[in-house]
Amino acid sequence: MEIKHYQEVPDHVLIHGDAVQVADTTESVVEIVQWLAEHGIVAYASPQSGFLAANLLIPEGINSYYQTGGIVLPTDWVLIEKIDNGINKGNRAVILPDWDFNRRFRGPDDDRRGYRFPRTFDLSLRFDHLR
Amino acid sequence: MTQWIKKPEYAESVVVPNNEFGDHPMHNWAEVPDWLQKAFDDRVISPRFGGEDYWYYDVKSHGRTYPASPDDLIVRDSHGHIDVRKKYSIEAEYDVVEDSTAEVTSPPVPVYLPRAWSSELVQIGTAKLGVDNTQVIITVDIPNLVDARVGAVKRILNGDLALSFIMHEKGEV
Repeated sequence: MEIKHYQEVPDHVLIHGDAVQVADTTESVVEIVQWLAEHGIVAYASPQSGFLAANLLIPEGINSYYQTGGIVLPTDWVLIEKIDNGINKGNRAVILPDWDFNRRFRGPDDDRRGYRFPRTFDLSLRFDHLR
Repeated sequence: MTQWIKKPEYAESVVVPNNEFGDHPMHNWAEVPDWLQKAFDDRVISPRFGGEDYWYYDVKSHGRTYPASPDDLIVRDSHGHIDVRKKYSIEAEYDVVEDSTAEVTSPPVPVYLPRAWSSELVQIGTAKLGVDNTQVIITVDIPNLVDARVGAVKRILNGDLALSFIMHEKGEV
């Protein structure tokens, strides 16, 4: 299990922490469960069909812009974010699919800055009722 | 001792589209087969906006709810079970079925016509046999032909197909 520090790509980064990618083996899932437990996040490994690995189940954490809980599938990423906002203090898991994690978060060897995510709304869908 | 071999498994899949929060979650699906529509209607699959700028689709499968995010596959196996898979994992277990709707076409073969009052055969053009999953298509290319229709299927014997044509060549009355 390779743990690296990742942070959001934009310079005004608020979210950062250590992250791992889930592999399709039960050993990987068990390692991540133990790693999360070390940071006070209770997760579960549970058998399932489809993938080789057991399911990685993480209960919903403190409210976040990102997913904090649910079933994490192989190749998805889990990032542990420290929370200390005066009211809540602790850690929460941020869960993202691989393609989205890679565009939003950069590792120690990645010098991307200020990347803006493309938004391609089809406005015609929003204003259909006005026609 | 009796030896067994597992029967082949057949599965269908659709790729989860990247529908942003401004999109309707049912937009941008490349195709919505009947089983997928039924899964939505029966709430086996439910769109969920999870905080990022795109829709997730919660899929109830094997007693749990699995999140399908853009680029994941929603798979229906031959038993009717619906599941969420990553592309690598289904490729490890299944081979892609070649597109059954693709047309397979033979190389051109000569078309002969008996010369009048003689048993000599004269090549008047070429023909190609095409097959897709619904029909057999015979494409006949005969230069100088202005009109033709198939008169009858003459015979099918040993894999040979003979057709009779009623045709008019240029200049023929």
